[in-house]
Amino acid sequence: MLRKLSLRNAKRQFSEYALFFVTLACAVAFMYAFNALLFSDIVKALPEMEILPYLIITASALIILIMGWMIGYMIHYMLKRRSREFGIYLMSGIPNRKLATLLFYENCLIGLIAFGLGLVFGMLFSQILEAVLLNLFGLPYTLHFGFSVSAAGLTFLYFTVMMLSSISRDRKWIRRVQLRELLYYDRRNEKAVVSGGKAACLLFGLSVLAGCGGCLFLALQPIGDGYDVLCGTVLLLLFLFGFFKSVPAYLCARFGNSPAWKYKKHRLVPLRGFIAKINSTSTVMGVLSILFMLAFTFLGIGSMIGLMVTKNVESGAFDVMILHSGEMGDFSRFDSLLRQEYAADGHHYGIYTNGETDFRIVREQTVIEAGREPSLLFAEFEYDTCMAQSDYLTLRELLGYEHLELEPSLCYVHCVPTMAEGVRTLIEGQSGLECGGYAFADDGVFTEVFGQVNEYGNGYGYILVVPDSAVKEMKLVYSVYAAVTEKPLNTAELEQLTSLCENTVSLDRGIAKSNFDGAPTLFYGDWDFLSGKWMDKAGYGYLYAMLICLIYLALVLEMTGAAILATQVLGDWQEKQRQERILRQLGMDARMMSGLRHRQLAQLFLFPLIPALIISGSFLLICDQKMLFGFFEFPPAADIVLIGQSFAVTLLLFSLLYGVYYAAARISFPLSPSG
Amino acid sequence: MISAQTPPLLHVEHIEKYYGSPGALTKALDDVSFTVQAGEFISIMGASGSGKTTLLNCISTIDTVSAGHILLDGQEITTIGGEEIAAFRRDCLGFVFQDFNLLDTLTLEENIALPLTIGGILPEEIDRRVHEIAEKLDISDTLQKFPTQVSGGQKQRCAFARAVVCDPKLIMADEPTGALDSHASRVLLEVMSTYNQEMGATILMVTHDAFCASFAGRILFLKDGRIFNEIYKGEKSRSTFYHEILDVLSLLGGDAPC
Ligand SMILES: Nc1ncnc2c1ncn2[C@@H]1O[C@H](COP(=O)(O)OP(=O)(O)OP(=O)(O)O)[C@@H](O)[C@H]1O
Ligand SMILES: [Mg+2]
Repeated sequence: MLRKLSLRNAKRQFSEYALFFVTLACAVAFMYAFNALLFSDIVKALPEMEILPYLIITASALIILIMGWMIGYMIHYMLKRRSREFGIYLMSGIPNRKLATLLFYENCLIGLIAFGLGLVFGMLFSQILEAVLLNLFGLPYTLHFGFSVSAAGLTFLYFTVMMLSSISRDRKWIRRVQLRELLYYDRRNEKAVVSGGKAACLLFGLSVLAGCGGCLFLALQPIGDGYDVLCGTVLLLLFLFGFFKSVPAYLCARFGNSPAWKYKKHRLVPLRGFIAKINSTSTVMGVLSILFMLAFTFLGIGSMIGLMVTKNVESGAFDVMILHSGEMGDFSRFDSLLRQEYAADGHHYGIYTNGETDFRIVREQTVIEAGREPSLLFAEFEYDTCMAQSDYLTLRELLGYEHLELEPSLCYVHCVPTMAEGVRTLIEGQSGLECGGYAFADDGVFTEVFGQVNEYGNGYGYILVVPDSAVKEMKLVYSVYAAVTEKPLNTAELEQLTSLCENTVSLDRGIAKSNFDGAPTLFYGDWDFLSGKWMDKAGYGYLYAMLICLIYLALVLEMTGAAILATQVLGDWQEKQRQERILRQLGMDARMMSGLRHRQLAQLFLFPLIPALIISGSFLLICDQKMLFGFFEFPPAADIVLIGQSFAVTLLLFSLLYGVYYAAARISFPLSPSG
Repeated sequence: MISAQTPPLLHVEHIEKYYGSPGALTKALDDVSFTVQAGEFISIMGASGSGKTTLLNCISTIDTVSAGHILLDGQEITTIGGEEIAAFRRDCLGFVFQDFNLLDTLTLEENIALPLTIGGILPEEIDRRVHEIAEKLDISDTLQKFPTQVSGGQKQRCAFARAVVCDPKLIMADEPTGALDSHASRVLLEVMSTYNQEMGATILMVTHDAFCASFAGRILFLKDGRIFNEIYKGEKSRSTFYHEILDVLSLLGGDAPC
């Protein structure tokens, strides 16, 4: 009998539970998809992905905690709303114990169905994830519907832990609850009462001060040594706590007693509704704010990582670069292989040095001016590096750049955009500056992408383009074979290249050795070193692993928060309908009513978001800056532009998911019957 | 008090109201006609299900009639539609309900001000009018409180204040004392009756209770959707009128026990 009743209940409650159900299913889908990565052979084959499983498991642990809390919260919320119904059951003689069992079945049923549905979506989602991942590594993706039993099992384990922990808590509640408490649950609305006391206003003022202080600490870092971040975080947490506790009373004091403000422009009802809602949910709002803050921060860091890697790869300019130390290497085997297999077009040339350091100093100054510390200097870049004009022109042609008429008896400079200013000043300022006996052309600085952002490209940061005859007198630092292929090369193809061409290894930027003089270098032995765009990219596998996990976390956190928010909104639709009925009777017209409705919904969705955005924005600002400083000595664009780009992407991604929940809340908010 | 020459404020002509599908019709109102002069305090009585609420709802444009006409101050209100209806309710009608229908999130003061803010009145003017009416209804002390913090009687007086603050042509009350104890009922009714006499407000009140009805100047009895009887208070004392009402009710009850 009870089983039937619970089945019927689950069915009847479906519309109310829809949001909860969808959120559960989405959570399962996410968990399955990311767990599937753990067991996927394709992912195992990717380079530098050893770290991914650990990251995913850590993220999952965090997600179980947060989602567990969310599920507990939603179930409890839903139960409370059905208090009266339970009261009637109890009154008609169903004992508490049985009622608890009934609810247990009901929730298990919902959970199981959500799990099943979630798995189906999860399979779909895991395919998308895999496709994205493979695409990142330039590998071809083929559609295949594998079902990973281990991933499903792990997901089930996580899911059960989350569900059971929250259900059992409510089971305890319903077993002990008193009939009176159930029947009069909705009478306890005294919480709607707020008065704007002085103490609350003081708390509000203090919390705002703490918030500003926290942001300043993070942005300016007056102390240094990480204490700022600590102080900033503590202040911001204080801000969040105090803000949500005191904002209703503050609003009440500020606007509630000012007829001139509140009676204007139909502000009265939204203002009061807002104050009452925040007052009764201040803790939840605080938690939501923290969830959104974390989600936004993770998303922001993820997007910055993605942006940095992409920009770095772009700045590599050449698809393949093969380097040989100290002498002109024999690159013919690469040339023929690449031409044959990848329709590549290539050119080999030497990088020379004149033993001067004029431009090296400009480079170091540029780095310092950009707020960074010049990195350890590799032996090859102790002196200015040069290349012949003819090589330069060929390379430009290879990259499809505009053809230049170079004066055969003058020197030119090609450098990264950030250095251009300094180079120009040097050339203009220092008369008699020359290289190998040739003067520099006025207006001879070029800044197209030329593989100079990282060491061991066409110089580092800059290269001097000198007359062909000049290089004959110079010392050859290393020789390069640079090629442009038709398509991007993936990791497998790169590996094939090193294995097919004997005596070749990939250039490992992570490990420097000492040369005879004790200066560090990446070259060792008599090898040819494979480098270039795609080689660099393959080295960033661990960053991609982090990116994936950050986005995973961010998605789940945001989804959790938005789901709770939407529940809050939908939870009091009966109250809202009553309000609309009254307003209609008082002569509010339909247009005003729908305006009011949208205003109230938007207010509620924006409110916990705004502090979250401010805080995570200031967090991200310093994080992004730190990351950029560590990653690029020469950022391909001004730091602030890159940070702006990453912010834009983050905002877009964030608002997409948020928008879905906002739209869901708007659509499913039942319209009151008109009349 | 009632002059025959002035045209009636409210004119209800042969209205009918059906509920349900053509197969299973309920006739809630059956050929009801009456007129109300400005300044009258009328009570509508009848057994449960006799159509009182339906009648009130039709007059107040909450519901539509199936046939017949209702004219308020010469304006046909059965055909007002769409956007105009909102403005009409705001400017011409005031409502009081059994369950108060106050917004819990607003203070009493703000509840009273609500229809004025909807009408776009200037804030200073709103403030002045709210305090004036609160003074008159003796709820000035509770204005800053929320509905959950005051008694039912205070809530209902607040609801009445909200109904009259716009100076509507017609005030309608559906069992306003239904949720109040006898003392609070009495206070409310005295307030309503004073307001009717001093301000000349026109009130239409549905009630079950003979004592409440005895505050009115005229009583319409409904039975099965028809007007069954109509009595005037005239110069009678309230207790005489009360007994007269009881007599009619027993007559009514004998015919149709509810
Ligand atoms: N929405 C509706 N749909 C169908 N029938 C209705 C509807 N509203 C009222 N009725 C019917 O119309 C008749 C009159 O109802 P009404 O609510 O006007 O009675 P009432 O006199 O106000 O009763 P009470 O004193 O119990 O409030 C009743 O028979 C009722 O069943
Ligand atoms: Mg009724």
